[in-house]
Amino acid sequence: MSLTLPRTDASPQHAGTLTKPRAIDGPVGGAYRVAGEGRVNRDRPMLFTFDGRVISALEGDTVASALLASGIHLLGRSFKYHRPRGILTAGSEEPNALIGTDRGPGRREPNTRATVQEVFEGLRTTSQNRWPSLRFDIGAVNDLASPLIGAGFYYKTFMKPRGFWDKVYEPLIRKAAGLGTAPDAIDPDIYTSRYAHADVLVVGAGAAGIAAALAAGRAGASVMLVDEQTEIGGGLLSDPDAVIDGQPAWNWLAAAAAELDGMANVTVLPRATAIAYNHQNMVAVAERLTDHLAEPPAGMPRERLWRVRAKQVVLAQGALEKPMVFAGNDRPGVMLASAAHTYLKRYGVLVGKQIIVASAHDSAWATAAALAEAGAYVRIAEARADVPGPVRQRAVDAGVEFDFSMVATGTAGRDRVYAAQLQLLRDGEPRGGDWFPCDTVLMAGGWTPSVHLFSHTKGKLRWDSKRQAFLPGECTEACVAAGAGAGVWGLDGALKTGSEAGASVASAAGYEAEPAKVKVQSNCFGDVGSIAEAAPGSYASAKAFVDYQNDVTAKDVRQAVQEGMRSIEHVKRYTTSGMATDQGKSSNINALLIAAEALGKSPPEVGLTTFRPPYTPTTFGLFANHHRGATFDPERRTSIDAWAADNGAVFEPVSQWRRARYFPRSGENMDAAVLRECATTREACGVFDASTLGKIEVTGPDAAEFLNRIYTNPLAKLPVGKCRYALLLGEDGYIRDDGIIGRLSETRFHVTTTTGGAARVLAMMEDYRQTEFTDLKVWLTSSTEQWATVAINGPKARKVLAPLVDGLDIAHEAFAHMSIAECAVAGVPARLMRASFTGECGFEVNVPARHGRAVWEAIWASAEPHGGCVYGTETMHVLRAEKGFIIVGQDTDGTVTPDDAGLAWALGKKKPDFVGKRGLMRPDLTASGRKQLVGLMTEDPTLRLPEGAQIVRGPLQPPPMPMIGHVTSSYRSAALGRTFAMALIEDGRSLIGSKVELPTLDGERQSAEVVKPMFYDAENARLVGEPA
Amino acid sequence: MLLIYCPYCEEERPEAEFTYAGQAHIVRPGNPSDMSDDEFAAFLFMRDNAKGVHAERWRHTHGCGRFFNVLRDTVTDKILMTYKAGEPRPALSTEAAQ
Amino acid sequence: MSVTVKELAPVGRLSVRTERADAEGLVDALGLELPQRIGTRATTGGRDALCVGPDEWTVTLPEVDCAAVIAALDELDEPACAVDISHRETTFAIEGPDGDTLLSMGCPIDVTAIESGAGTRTVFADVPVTLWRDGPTLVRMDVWRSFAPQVRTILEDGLGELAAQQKLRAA
Ligand SMILES: [Zn+2]
Repeated sequence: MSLTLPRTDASPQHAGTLTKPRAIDGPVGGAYRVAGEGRVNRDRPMLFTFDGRVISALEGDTVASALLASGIHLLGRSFKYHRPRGILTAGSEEPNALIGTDRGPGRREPNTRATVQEVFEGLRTTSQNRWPSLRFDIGAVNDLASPLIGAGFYYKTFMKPRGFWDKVYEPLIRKAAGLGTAPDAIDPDIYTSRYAHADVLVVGAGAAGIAAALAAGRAGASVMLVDEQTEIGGGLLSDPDAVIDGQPAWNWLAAAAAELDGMANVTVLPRATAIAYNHQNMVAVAERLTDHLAEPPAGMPRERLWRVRAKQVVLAQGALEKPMVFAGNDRPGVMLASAAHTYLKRYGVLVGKQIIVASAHDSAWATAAALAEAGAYVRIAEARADVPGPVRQRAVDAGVEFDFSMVATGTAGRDRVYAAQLQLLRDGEPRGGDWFPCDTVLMAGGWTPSVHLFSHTKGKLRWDSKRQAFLPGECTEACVAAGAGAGVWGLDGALKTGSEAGASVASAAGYEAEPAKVKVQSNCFGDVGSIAEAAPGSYASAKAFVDYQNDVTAKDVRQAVQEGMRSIEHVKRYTTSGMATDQGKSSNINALLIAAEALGKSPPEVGLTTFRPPYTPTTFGLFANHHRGATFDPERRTSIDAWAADNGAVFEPVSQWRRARYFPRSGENMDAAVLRECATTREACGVFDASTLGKIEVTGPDAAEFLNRIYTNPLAKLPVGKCRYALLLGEDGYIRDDGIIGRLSETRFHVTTTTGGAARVLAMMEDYRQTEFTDLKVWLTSSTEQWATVAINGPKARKVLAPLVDGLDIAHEAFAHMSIAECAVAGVPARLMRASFTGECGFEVNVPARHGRAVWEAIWASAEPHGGCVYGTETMHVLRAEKGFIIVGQDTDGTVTPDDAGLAWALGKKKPDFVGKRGLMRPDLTASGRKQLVGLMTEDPTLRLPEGAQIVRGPLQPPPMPMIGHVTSSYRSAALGRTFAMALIEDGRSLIGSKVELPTLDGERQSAEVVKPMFYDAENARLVGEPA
Repeated sequence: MLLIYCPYCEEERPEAEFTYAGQAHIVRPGNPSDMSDDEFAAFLFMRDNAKGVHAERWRHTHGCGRFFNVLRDTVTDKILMTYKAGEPRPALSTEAAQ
Repeated sequence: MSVTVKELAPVGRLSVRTERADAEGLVDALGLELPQRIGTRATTGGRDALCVGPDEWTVTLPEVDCAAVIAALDELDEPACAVDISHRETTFAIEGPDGDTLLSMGCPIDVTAIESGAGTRTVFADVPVTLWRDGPTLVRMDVWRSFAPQVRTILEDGLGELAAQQKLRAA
C-alpha cells in the first residue's frame, strides 16, 4: 500500500500524463454526476449560463455544484495576482468562487458566492476580475511580479511621490485589482424587515441545531431555528450513510423537519443567515426570499432582515474545514475535502477522477473512501504518522492508497491542477518526494469551530490545543454553544450536546425540558479526530496561500512578523489577511498559527483578530429595508401642502418638512418669483403657510413661571391675550431657539418654536420640567400638528382677514400688534395672533389641521382681489432679513449670544434666573471682540454675496489674512432695489460705517459697507396696516 | 439594540423608544448667578469619562416620556440598573456590577 | 391574506394631564375614571382613556365633547388640564389574524404581548405611534398626521409582501 518514491528531482514537466477525464454516461445535469448520489432532483433539470455558456443543472444545485458537475473548476481570477481560481468550499465561507449574477434589469450583483447561489432556470452568471477573458487574463502579469507585491506593498510603495497616488497608482490599482463590478442601476428590488420575539433562537440547523430546536420545542418554548442553507440538515445533508435511532440519516432528518413543522411554537427559517449577535440576545438574521426563484411574485421582497430578540440563544453553527498551506494550494481543482464530500453526497457530483487528499484529520479518510466508492482514484497523503484502525479500514476497503507522514508541498497546473508534489516528513521537514498526476487535490487541515457570532457578543474564547482551535468560553449573553461549533466533533456529539443545549435553554426560559437520547452509527467525522501539530505552511514556500481572497501568502505573514508586527491585529492590517469579504473564515486560524510560530509564541498569546458583523456579505438593501426611496425618511407635509403643489409651488426640505419655497408664475425663475412675492407682500399682502412652526401648549397653574425661567424674556406677567417674542438659550448662554409666546388664559400658553427646533425645544423643556423645576405644576403638549397656521402679511392683511373673522374685532386699536385671541376664521374655531415676521401688519391664523386647506383657500380667495399673492419660504427669508430678524441656525450657529445678535433687549435683566443667565456672565461671553450681527451693503448694488463668504478688513492684505467674520444671510431686496446681506463680524457694531472686504473664490474681492442690520422701516410704522 | 427597563412603565422596552440624555446627578444650582466662574465651568462643562459604571440619564421618549437614571458599564455596554429621576445613585455591590 | 388596513374617521382626542388621577371632580369632568397604570385603559360610554405616562392620559371621545371637557378640567381645584389633539393624529385600524405580523415589520416591541383592552406608545419604523389593542386581531394605531403617509406606505408595502408570500405558498 505504501508509495514508492522513484525520483526526487522530478519537476512538474516530468509528471506522468493525466488521462483525460472520461466522460461519464451519467444522468442529465453534467458529466460528473454520480448515479444514486445526492439530494438534487433528477426529474427537474434546468439550464443556466456561465460566461454565456449553457450549463445543465438539476433542481437543488448551487452554481458551484452544477459547474463542477460539468467539469468546470476555473471560476475566476484572484484579487491581486489574477491567479486562476476555482471552488474551495461548498458553503458560505467560500473565498474564491465569486461570480456575477444577473437576474434581469437592475438585478446584476457582483461577488456572489457560487457555492451559495442556487441555480434556477435562466440564471445568468459570469466570471469576474478577468480581461479580456477568463482563460486569457492580462492582469495575470501581476502574478509574475508578485515578489514585488508582498506584505505591506501598498504602504511601502505608494508613500512617495505624493502626487503619484491620485494620478498613477490608484487608477492602475483600481484597474488591476478588485473583484466584480458594482451594479450601475438603482436596485429595483424590495427589502423588508421584521422584529421577532422568541424564547429560544437556534442558529444553525445541522444535527446539533435540530436536536436543540426539538428539545426546546417539545418543552413548549417558542423557538426560531435559522439556517443559511436552502434546507435544514447542515452536515447531515452530506452524510446519508449515518444511522440515527435505527433510521437512515435522511429519514431521521425528514421526520425531524416534519415534527418541527408541526409545532405551532416553532418557526424554521432556511436561507436565513444570522449575521450579527447584538446586545441582550438580539440577533440579526438575513433571510433570502427570491434569489433562488426564476419568477418571484410581484411585491415579494428580495430579502428580509429579522431582528430576533430571544430569551435564550443556542449557537450551533458547526465548524469550517481549514485549508492546508502549501505552494499552489489555490489552483482550480484544489479544494477542501469536506467540500468534495458534500458535492458527492449532497449534490451527486464527483469533483474529480484522480484525487489526492492532503490530510491532517480523520474526517478526510471517510471522504476519501466515499470518493473511491464513487469510482475515483484516491490517494491520501496523511501528515500524521498513523490513524486509528477503524478510520483506516474503510479507506482500505474502498481501495484508497495512502502514506503516513507525508505532506503536499506543491501543485502544478494552470487552469486546473494536474499534479501534486508529495513529500515525506522527516524530523518535521519535508524530504524527497515526487510529483503525482491528479485532477483534484483535497485539503483536510482540521476543523475550526464557527465562533463568529459568539465573538460578536464579546464572549471570551479559549484555546483548545488538542483541537488546535478557539472554542466559545465565558459567555456575556444568555447563550449556549453546541455541536461542532463548540468543538464537539461527530454526529453523536452534535445530537447529544444539541439536545442538552435545547433542554437547558428551554428550562432557563421557564419550561420543563428533557434532552432526548439518540443513538448514532456514523462513519463520518468521528470524535477521535486529531490533527497534525506542525504549523500549517511551516514548510511552505512561495505561493502558499493563507488568505485566498486577498492573495496573502504564508510568506507575507512571516515577512510581516519579520518587519516588526507583533500583534495579530497588526499582521492582519499589514498583510490584509482576513480583511476580504469572507472575513478570513478559511484563513484566520492559519494566519494565526503561522504568525505564532514566527513569533515563537503560543496561539492564545498571539490572539485572534476580532470577528465583526455581518457574518457573511450582506446587501445594503437589507440594512436599509423599508428606509429607502420614498420612505427613506418621513417627508412631512402640512395640510396646505397639496394646495401648494396644485398651484405650482417649488418645494425645499426644511428639517423633515417639505415646504413651498416660492410660487413661480409662467416664465419666472426663482429670483423673479421671489422679487415679485416680496414686492406684492409689501405693497398689498402675501399669504404664507407657516404650519411647520413648532407649537407647544404649556398648561398648568405654574405655566407662566415655568416659561419665565425657560425663556430669557420676562414672561411671568404677560397679560392674557398678549404675545411676546422670546429667546431660548442653553445654559451656556448661546441662542438655541426663538419663537412667539401667547397667553390664552392664566394657565394656558401657546408657544411657537422654529420649524427644525420643535422636537428639541420640547425635549429640553420636558427635561427642566421633570428634573429641575420640579416645584412647578406645569405640563407640555406638542401641538405642532394640531394646528395649521396661515400667516397673512402686508398693508392689506386686515382687509383680507376681517371679512372671515367672527367673534373678534381685529382693528389696529382693538387687536394690537402682539395680541392673541380665540375666534372663528372662515367658520372654523381659530387661535388668531397678531404678529409679524415681515415688518408689515401681520396675522397668524391657527386652525385645527384638518381645516387647514379650507381656511387657506378662503383666505386666498379673500386676498386675491386685493392684489395679494401667496409666498414661500424664500420670500419669508428676504422679508424678515430686511427687518433684521434672525433665523436661528442661519444667522446663529450655536455660539451666538443674544447680545451678539443684537437681541440684548430680550433679556429679562431683573429676573433672578433663567436658563442661560449665568452662562451669559462667562468671561468669554462678556469680552470684547465677539462677533456681532451687522448688515452689509456691497459697493455694487447688483452683487449678491454668497452666504458663508469670509470677511476681512480692507484693503485686501496678502494671505494669510485674519478673517473677522462671515456672511450669514444674503438676498436681493425688492423694497431696497438692491442686494443686502447680514453678517457676523468681530466687534461688528463698532465697524458700522466702515468698509470690509470679501475675497472670493476666483481671487477677486468685493467691498462692502458695514451697516445696522435694519434695512427697511426702522420706525416700524408699517406694522399698523390699512384699516379693514 | 439595548433593552432598557423603564422604572416608570415597569417594563423592559427596546432602545428605539429611548433617548440618551447625558450624565446623571448633575444638579442645576438653585441660583447659578451666585456661582464663581470655576464652579459654573465645572457644572457646565466637566463630565466623567468612566471606564466602568457610569450613571447617566435616559428618556423614555416614545413611551411614558419620563427622564430616568441608568447605571451602565461602559466597558461591556450592559445596563446594570435603572431608577427614577431624583433618586440617589444606588451603591452597587461588585457582584451586581458583574 | 388576512389583514386589512383602514384609516378611521377622525375622533375627538385629548391629552389629559394631572398629578392625581383620583382628584375630586375629575371623573365627572372627564366622564370616566382614569386608569392608573401605564398601558392600561378605561372605557365608558364612547370614551376611552389610555394611561401613557405617570401624569398623562390620551382620551378619545366624540369630537363635539372636547371643548366642554377642556373647560371642565380648567375649573377643578386640583390642577388638571386637557389639550385638544384631535387634529394632531390620524388612526389606522389593522384588523385580521396577520395584523400582528404586519405590525412586526415596524414595531420593535412584541405587539402580541399587548393585551386586548390595553395600549402603549411606541414606534413603528422609527415613527412615534400609539397602539390600542381592541381585540385579539384588531389594533388601532395613532400616528401624527404628517407621519401618516410614511406609515401608510410601509403598511401597504407590508400588505403587498404578505399577499406575495401567500401567492408563493400557493404556487
Ligand atoms: Zn416608560
